[in-house]
Amino acid sequence: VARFLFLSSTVEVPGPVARPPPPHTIAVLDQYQLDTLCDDDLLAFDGMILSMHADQRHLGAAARRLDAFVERSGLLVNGHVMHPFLPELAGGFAPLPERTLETLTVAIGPGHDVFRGVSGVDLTFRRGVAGFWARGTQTPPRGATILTTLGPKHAPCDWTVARPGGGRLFMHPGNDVWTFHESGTATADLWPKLLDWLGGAGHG
Amino acid sequence: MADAPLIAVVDNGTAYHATALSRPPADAFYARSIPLTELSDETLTGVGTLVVACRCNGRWLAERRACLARFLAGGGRLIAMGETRPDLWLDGVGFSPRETNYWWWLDKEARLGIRIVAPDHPLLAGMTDADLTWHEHGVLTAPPQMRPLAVNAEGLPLMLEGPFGGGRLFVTTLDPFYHHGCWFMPATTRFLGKFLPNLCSWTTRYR
Repeated sequence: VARFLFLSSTVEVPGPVARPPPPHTIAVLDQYQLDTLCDDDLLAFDGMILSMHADQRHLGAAARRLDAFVERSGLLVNGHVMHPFLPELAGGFAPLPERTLETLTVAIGPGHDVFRGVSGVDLTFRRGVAGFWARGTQTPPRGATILTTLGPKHAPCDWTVARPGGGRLFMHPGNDVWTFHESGTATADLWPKLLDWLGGAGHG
Repeated sequence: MADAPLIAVVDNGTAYHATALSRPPADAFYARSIPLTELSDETLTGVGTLVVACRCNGRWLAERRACLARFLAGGGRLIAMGETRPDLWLDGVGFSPRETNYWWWLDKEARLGIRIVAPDHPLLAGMTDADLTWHEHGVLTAPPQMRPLAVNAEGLPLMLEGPFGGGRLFVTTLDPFYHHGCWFMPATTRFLGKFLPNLCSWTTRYR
């Protein structure tokens, strides 16, 4: 069982965050309230979840604390990073030069728990429309593990970085992952599996 | 303030605003960008037109509603874009969400049904129904002096403009800056390519 912190930056809290898959729990906090938490408060959480709607300028101002957090805990970053707030995110975002059905096609690399049982087709299309998963590359740092790629040129898409202290970063450069958490679809289990994986940070 | 031509845009610090506002055709229409967290009488000094870009958090805007009301009272023009929950920060504006159909266009015969009803309005010069057509997120209610510029398939307004709070208000539920900045939905880039030049000439020509 893992405890997560979600920094909210929208009026409504997305359903899969407000009602996370059991047994995990997610505490929801207005993003700017992060400034009111001390570092010990953050230690209570196994992981932190950031939406594509996060104020990245504010996260940049909290960079030192986020860096210390991800050293030992899990961090999920959704979206493109235009105001870098961690060393691993400084590489910049590059959209696919052309966004066509061919270039937007997702391929899944071998053997990661999060994508077990899911196919590239499942990630490529939501109800027949391509592009929701991702439309470009958040340039991965040296040492990152590439989990998925886009198109015939295998542009890096999802990637992870392991920190020496046991922390783990999951970078998803597209729409918030939980928008794929629809019951009855092949990607319904992606969100709980990602929480399982994030919650494993610091445990070897 | 009423005669000030300066256009400012409020951005929320997201990647999609950073991208949208640095990428043609939305990179040159404004003279100042103001982080939502820094919206104040001071940062609005000299601003004649304020664009609240799509998806700025309505709760955070509500915390600054007095400042926005003073801006309007001073004759300012406020451009409130989609998914900003204007009902939370503009007195007299109501918002009703609609279930967004992200897939409507998969059926070749399908129409989303968004229509321009004020083709003579300078902000819509040269624009067609197709330029406004990507997603419908909701409809609006507003005081009677506000004129509907575009409606949904039910005939309910999703874009209005008119005198408001001592200044002028344009409010819509369309969210083009968001999609343009996400590299998703080319129709939104086309919308901005027509709407923003219209906005620039409207603010200088119609005082």
